[in-house]
Parts: sequence; C-alpha cells; structure tokens
Amino acid sequence: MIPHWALLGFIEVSMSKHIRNKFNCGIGRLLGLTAILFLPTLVGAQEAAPAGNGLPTGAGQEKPQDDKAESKKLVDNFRFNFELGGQLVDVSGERPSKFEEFGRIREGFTVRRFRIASNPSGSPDFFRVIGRGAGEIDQQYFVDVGRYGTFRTTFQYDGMPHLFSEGARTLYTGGNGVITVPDSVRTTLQNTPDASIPAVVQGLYDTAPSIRIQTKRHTTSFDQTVQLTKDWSLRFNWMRIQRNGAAPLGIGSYERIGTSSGDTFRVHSLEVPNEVDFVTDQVTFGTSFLRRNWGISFDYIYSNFKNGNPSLTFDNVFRITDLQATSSGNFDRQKFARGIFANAPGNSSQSFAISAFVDLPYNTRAAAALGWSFGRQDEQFVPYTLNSAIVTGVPAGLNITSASSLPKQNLDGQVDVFTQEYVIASSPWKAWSFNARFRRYDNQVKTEEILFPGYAGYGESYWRSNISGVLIANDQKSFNKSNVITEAAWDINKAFRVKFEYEWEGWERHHRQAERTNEHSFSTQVTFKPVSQFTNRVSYKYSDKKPENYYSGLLEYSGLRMFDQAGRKRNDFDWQWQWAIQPKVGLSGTVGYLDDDYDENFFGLVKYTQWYGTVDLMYMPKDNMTVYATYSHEKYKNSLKTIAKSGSPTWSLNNAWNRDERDILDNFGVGVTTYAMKDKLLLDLNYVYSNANTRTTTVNPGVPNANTVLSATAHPFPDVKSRLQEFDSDVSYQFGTNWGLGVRYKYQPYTLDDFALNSLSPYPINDLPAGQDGRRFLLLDSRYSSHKAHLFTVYIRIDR
Amino acid sequence: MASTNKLKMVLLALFSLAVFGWAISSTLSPALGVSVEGESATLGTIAGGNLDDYVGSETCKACHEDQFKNFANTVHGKVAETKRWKDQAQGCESCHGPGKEHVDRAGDKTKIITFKNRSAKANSQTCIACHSQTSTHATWRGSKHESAGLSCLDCHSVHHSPGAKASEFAPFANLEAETKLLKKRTENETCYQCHSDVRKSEYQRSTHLFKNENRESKMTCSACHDAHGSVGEKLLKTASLNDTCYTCHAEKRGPFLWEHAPARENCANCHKSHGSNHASLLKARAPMLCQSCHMQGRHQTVAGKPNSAFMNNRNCLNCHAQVHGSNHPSGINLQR
Repeated sequence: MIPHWALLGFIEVSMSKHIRNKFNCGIGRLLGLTAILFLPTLVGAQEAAPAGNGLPTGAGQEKPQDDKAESKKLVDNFRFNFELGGQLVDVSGERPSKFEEFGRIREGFTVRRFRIASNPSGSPDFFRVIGRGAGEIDQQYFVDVGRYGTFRTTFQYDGMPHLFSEGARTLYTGGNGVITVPDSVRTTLQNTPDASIPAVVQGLYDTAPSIRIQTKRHTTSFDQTVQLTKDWSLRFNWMRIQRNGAAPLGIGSYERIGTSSGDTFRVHSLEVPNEVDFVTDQVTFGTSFLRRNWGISFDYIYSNFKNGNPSLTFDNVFRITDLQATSSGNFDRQKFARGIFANAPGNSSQSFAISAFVDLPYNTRAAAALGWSFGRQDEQFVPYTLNSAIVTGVPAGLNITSASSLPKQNLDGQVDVFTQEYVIASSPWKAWSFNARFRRYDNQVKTEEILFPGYAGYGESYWRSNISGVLIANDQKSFNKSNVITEAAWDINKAFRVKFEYEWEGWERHHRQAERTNEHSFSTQVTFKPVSQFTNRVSYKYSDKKPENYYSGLLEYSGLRMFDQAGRKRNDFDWQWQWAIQPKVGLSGTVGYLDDDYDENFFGLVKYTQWYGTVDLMYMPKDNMTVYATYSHEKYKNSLKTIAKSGSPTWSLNNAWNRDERDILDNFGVGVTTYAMKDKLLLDLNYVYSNANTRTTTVNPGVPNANTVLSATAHPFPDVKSRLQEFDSDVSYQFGTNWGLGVRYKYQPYTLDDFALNSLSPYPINDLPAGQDGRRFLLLDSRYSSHKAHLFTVYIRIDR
Repeated sequence: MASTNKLKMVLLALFSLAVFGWAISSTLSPALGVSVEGESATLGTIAGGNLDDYVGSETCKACHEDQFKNFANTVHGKVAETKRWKDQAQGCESCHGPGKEHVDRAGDKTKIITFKNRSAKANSQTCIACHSQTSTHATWRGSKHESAGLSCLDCHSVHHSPGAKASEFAPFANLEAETKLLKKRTENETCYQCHSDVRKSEYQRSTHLFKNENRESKMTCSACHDAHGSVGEKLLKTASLNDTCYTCHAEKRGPFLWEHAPARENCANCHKSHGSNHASLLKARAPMLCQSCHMQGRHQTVAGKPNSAFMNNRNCLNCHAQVHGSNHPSGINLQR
C-alpha cells in the first residue's frame, strides 16, 4: 500500500523540483552516481589513450579497434560513450501538460545517454550497457551480456511517467484507497439551498490547490537464454510492471427533469483523483528442441496482477448524512454520504503452450500450436453500498452495507482459454507456394452465475431488484473464434507474383446479441517488379460478414445492430510501391482505401470509410549525408444512425438523427543528418508537422416530436483541431580524440482546440447548456491544451 | 458448445493423422528440404557444395575489404567462433556458397551466389537454413510476411547494420537495429518501409509509439508483433490481441463480475493500437463511439450541445468509468 503522502505527492501543489525528485528511482540514482564517479577516470583515461585517427564517435562511423585488435577479451575492448550536459526548459501555455505527457524533462544537469560496450572481433562474447536520464523520473537502462550461440542475459528498466494534467483542482485529500472532504464542507453544502450551492462551491474552488495528476510506470525485466546443446535451448523471462500515482476517475449519475419541450437533466458527478497502485509480475519459462527438419517448443507463462487499492472509498462533497432517493424513478440521486468504488481486481493467469513443426516431402512444413490458459480472479467484493438509508425494496434482513451479506464474497472468476493453430506451408514447385491455416480461440467463462437480490442504483440511492424486468445476475459471456485461411502464391516470373487468399472467420458468442457470425473473405495480391529498382504490391480484399439469430435483448432498441456483430460488407484496397531511382535516391509510398458497409435498414454504425496515402523520400547525396522527407494524408469517416428515446411511443422514428464524424490527418516530416569538416561536425535536423481535424455533423431526417426537441434535435458541433510541430536540431563537434561538445535545441508548439475540453473547469456549472442543472457536477479539470516549449541542451561527449 | 468441442477433436485427429501419414512417407523420401534454384541445404555446411571448393573468408577479404570489416563485428562475422556453429560455418561462403570458381575466374559474379537478383524465396531459404533452428524463426514458413513474398533481406542487412554504426550516438533508438542487423537505423523505420501509414501514429494526439526526450522510440513494433510469424493474427506475439494488451494492462484482464463483452472480446473494437486522433487511442470520439452500439436512450447527447455534461470532459466515462468491466456488486451499469 502506498502511504498517505505518496498520493499527496501526485497531487502536487506545484512543480517544485523537490517534489519532482520524489519520483526518482533508486536504480537511477545509483547508475547516475556511478556515471559521475566514472567521469574523472574517463577524462583521465583520455590523455593516456593512444591517439586515434581523428574520426568522430558519432553516428555513421565506428572507431576502429585496431589498437586492441589482437585481444579477444571483453575487458580489453571496452568502449565508453557518455553525454552529460545541462538543460534549460521553457514551457508556456495555459495547460501545457502535453509536452511532458509521457516523459519528464529535467532542468539542469542531465545524463543524456551513455553506452559502455565491448564487442571484440574474433570473439563470440559481447557486453553492452546503455542508459539515459539517470536519476530522473524518466530513465532507461539496458544491460546485455552474452556469448553468441551459448547464452544471453539482458536486464532492462524503463521508468515512464504519464502526466494527465497539471493545474487540476480537487477538494479531496487522502490516500490508501480513502479520500475525504472536510466534514464542515459537507455539512455546509448539505444544508445549503440549491440556489446557493454554486456560490459556496465556487468559493471552495477559489482556494483549492492546483494539483498534478500523474502516474508512473516502472518496467523491469530480466531475460536469460541458454543454448544447452546445438538443438536444445532454454529461455526465462521475468518482468515486473509497477504503476503508481493517481488517475482521474468519474463517479456520477443524473436525474431526468421533464419540461414541455422534452427532458432535460440534472447531473451529479464527482470526478476524483483515484490512487493507482498496480503491480504485475510475469514469469515465462520456455524450452525448444529444434532440428533442421523438425522441432518442438514448450512455454509456460504465469502472470499475476495485484492492485494495492482494490477499492476507493470517497466522501460525497454534498452530503454528510445518508439519504434514500424519494422514489424508484429518476429523482434525488447520488444521496449517499460516502460511496465506495471497486477498482480493477487483482487477477492471475497461467498459460501453457506447446508447438511443433516437421518438414515433409515436397518442401512442405506442417506446424501445430496448442495453448491452454487459466485466468482467475477472487478479489473480495465491496458491499452493495455504504448508504445505510436505503431501505425501500431491500429484502428483509439484508444488510446492504456489509459485504458479508452478499451471495458470495468474491467472484471466484474463472476463464479458460484453449487455442489451436495448425499450419501446412508447402512449396512443392519452384513457382508455387500454398499455405493452409486453421486457428481457433476458445474463451470459456467458467465463473458460476451469481444471482443478486438487487443492487444500489441511481447513484447508490435506491434499491433496484431488476432492470426492466431482468434480474440482477452476471452472464457467462463465453465466445470462440475460428479462422480458416488458405493461400496460393504463384511466382509467374521474376516480375510478377500473384497471391490468392480465402478466409473464413466465425464467431460464436454466448449471452450476446448474435449467436454466431460468419465472414467470408477473398483477396488477391499482385506483386509487380518490372525492374529490380521498382516494386509494386497491390492487394484487394472483399469480405462479407453475416450474423445469425440477432436478438437485441430487452434493454436495447430492436432496430439497433451492434457493429461488432452486425452484417458487414468490406472492401479493402492497398497499393505499396518502392522505387530506388538510383542507388542514392529512394522513393516509396502507399495508397489505401477501406470501406465497411453495414445494413442501413438498422440503427447503429452504418458506414465506415478510411483512405490514406503516404510518400517517403530518402536521398543520400554523399556517403555522410542523408536527407529524408515523409508525408501522409489520411481520412476516416464514421456514419452513425440513431434515435432518441421518448415517452410514448418509446422509439418514434421522428426522433431519429444521423451523425457523421470525419477525421482528416496530415503529417509531414523532413530531416537531414550529415557529417562535415572531416566528419568532426555532426548535424542532425528534424522537423515534423502533424495536423488533425475532426468534424462532426448531425442531422434530423425528420422533424422531432415536440416533447423531445431537447434530446432529439440535431445541433452543430465545432471542429476539433490539434496540431503538433516539432523542430529538433542537434549539432556536435569533435574537438579531440576523446571528447566533443554539442548543442541541442528543440522547439515544440502544440495546439488543441476541443470543445469537450475548452470550456472545462473544476466547477463547470456556468458552461452547461440552458436547462441542464450542474450544481452538483464537480470535475478535476484534468486536461491539457496548447503549449509552446523550448528545450536547450549543452552537452559534452566523452568517448574512450 | 458440445458440437464445437467435437469439431475440435475431429480436426485435431485429422490433422494428426495427416501429419503422421506424411511423416512416415518422408522416411521413404531421399530428400528432405527441396532445394530452391539449385541450392541444397545439406552436406553438413550451411551453403552446401563440395568442401574443397571453399576458399575461406580471408581470401574474400583481399577484394572485399570494406564488407569484411563491417561484417567482422556482427554476429554473423563471429559465427565461426561460436561453439554451436563453428563446425558448420564457412565464413562468407556460408551464404555465398563456395568461392573457388569465383576466385579462379577473376571475380566472375556469375560464379558466386549473390542476392540481388534472386527470388525472395531463395534468399530466405539461405537464412532459414540456419535460423529455422532458432525458436523465434521457426514460424516463418507460412507466415504473413513470407506469403507476401518478402525475404529476410527486405528487413535485414547481413553484412552490417546502419543501426550498429549509429548506436553510439543514439543507443536506444538503434538498439534493435544493432542487435538484429536491421536494414534501417531503427526497428520502427524498418517496418515503416512497407507500413508507412503507421509512422504518423508517433505524432498523433494519443499514441502507443512513445518516444523519449532524445526522439528514440520507447515502444518498438516487436513489443507486440513478431515479424517472423506467430500463432496470433496480425503477427501478434500472443494468440489474441487482448492477450497482447493484457501483458502491460493486466488490470483490464479480469474476469469481472460485470463484463463489457466487446472489451473482453477485442480491444480493437474501441481502440486503435498504434495511435489515434482522439484521446486514449479511441477509434472515434465518445459518445459517438459508444453510440455505435448503444442508443442514446434517455441520455441527452445529441441535443446536449458541445458543452453538455454528456459531451464534455470524458463524456460517457464521466459516469460509466468501468467500461472495461466492473467488480462491484452494484456495478451492473459499469458505473462503480
């Protein structure tokens, strides 16, 4: 369990370096310290080292190892590369968190990167240690040692933050799965008339601290492979992923308020910082016995996920005492004084896999792979609710605030997965190849059904014993998926190659809408290579998916078809080409088009189209200079057909509306890497432009009923736009045999214009549309928007 | 699903029978591994041929010094030093075949195996002669990349890798390229040769293709995919996409008391794994994405206008936070 202060650490008051350093990992500090301690030794060694030939140590050239060429020992062939420097970071913008979303950039001293390696010629031994960002929150290390053909040992560590937002605000404090709001605040708000609540809440937020919402992921792994004999190998892997910090969590409900022009809504929602304390351990053991013409492998994987905070108990900011909703309708929700939330449950999985292949006559290989996996989950259930005021409809003698009164204390969840794959790959004639593959994934839910007497609904404020007549019980949503794939490829001549493919994919699902879907696909691919420098690969695929026995169920409109189980016709076209215009100029590109047509007689997703084109250019005017440019343009479009629910009739076609969402993306990149001044000067320039635009349009094909205009009338939506530009320049000069200086400058402007976030605030009551009551709608205001960032680094390179 | 179990058993039995029958027949066949374009994969050497026809790498060095120097520090250049291969490897001639005639005829290119004008199948066969005995390459035959007509040399540079040269400058970016002898400086760039539509994901609003501050990729394609073939679709390392995702996102694995079936079946129902124009790698904005399967119901999302409580912030997830599944007895609507 993370102590109380740890959560508070992630709900920082500011970005002070003191707080930043809290996340520095011990490993990083150790390696960073080691690097610093080594520094004088290395610099000293520089003078003692024999003079080289003056070649740079940067990309494009490796220092010759002639001075040690006669030695095959690792220890005699070590090479060191260190880059140490100082950084300045200037970030501006209203909410600039995007700049450090997945990486923390330190100001001041930094270990940019280091590499210690030995790879002597004539020896099968190798050793490599690389790292970056030692001592920082965002740091990486990789250790790799081995003897080719005998063993290899690797160790990796990667620390990666995920910054959701700086500048968020909350009224909550706490940790260890319990967050609270002062009782005095809750008492005041409970006793405040609705009309006065906004002023009180606004006053609280005026003094609420600005916080940072962030998690950090530590991934550590150890790999060991051993070649026991010429044919027999062993492999072992251990990986631990730890994730801690806090992430935003929305806990809400709403009430419907009837008006003459339709229903409007009162929103209750409490967005809270949810403490994250995840640890996943995975151990893999495998062994293979492989001969040239046959082989067999076995793998065992054990994965265990543990959540240090399996539940979150949180205060209701607006109540100090429990209350039951006034009726079973949609009124007076979210009346609990303290709520409880079930976080991701701890779980484990064990997998066994065995695979084998054998080569047969006529250049044929048969292969098979079978796998069994067993998933288990037995995290303790939390009680139905902590709201002790709920009594109406609760079965006599049932204490709904105690977990002991539940039908079972945990799910005792079991999911067994059985996988099979059989492959025949044959090339009986020089020009022909045939493949046949059968694959099946069988996901069997073995969890027993639990029939609950009801649940605490309407924001934990009222007891519901059913939903539209459906009892409260978990479904065993087992499914299986089968594929049969056959391919035939014909190399007509050196210029032409044709491939034909047929695939059948079948799904069987339990407790879902479509019992079964069948999809048949036919595809062809033509590879055309008129000259060795020019390659084209064109492919087209047509698929037809049909559901059997689609049943909408009691809770969804009968005219709806969920897209993953709906009938669909797909056309998929792709053209790839590569042209080596001359040895120093390469041009390549792709063009692709895909469309999914669903049955427009139903509601739901009716069409999806995707179009893209890319062009890449690579130009090497000199051996020590590379110029590259890339461009891509993409367009996606989802077309949705839906309908607003009304009183009577429940589903009136007058209330239908259609929505199209269209994305256009443009990406452009250009760069140059070159060495000049006898390869002493290294110049690396890169510029990237990425622009995206999402346009949403809604239309009513008919005229909405008068009493539904608030919920069925189409409205325009502003475009959502994001644009990232990044200019990165790195210039270094090799002053001596063993050292050089470099300067790096990076400029990154980013803009985001998203209507869902633009008007956000911790208390967005004044931003909601007229009629929508958001007096009890509290958010974290966890977001990022636009920024401009400058990063300037001066570094010294030390090589030996 | 009793019928499907029977089907499985029948298929398994048929497959076993077929393989057994064919395997028996193979004992009657004199040749295992039919040669391609005249190359044999037998005779105790990698490239085949008469042992007297091999001249040794030092002879090659005399004319091909640059290639030799680059090659020497690669894993291939060290094969002869390894316990496993030293009795089989013939240096340069392991792949290029016996060089005696090539040398005797003053470097006649027609008398040595070169890879520029050979078929993809023939080129790969040369590599597979050794690499089929490594667990990572045993699935190459019949894989998507093989059937697409690619050869090992479309991705790998056997003599040397640009990644190896650049590794001192940017060690993490070039790590995979260096250790795997890739043709490009980085692993991702190698894959982008054909999958160039994925490159843009590196700069999308949400991405899995993270980079560190030095612009080096932290997430490489091989974190999820095995380019040499696998039991999963789309060359995924595991049997299903979800199993791949659960490797790092085990909190989504469950099983849960209340499952969200589309999430259980396929993460790609809602997410784009490489990158997305929307938050959280979503295929489309919520609530539009959710409404692909769920009618608006009583939720005010079409008329709610852009600033509606059902449209702003995390929209549907403002209340339905447990879209991957809930383990709360009152979480049937995925709200707790």
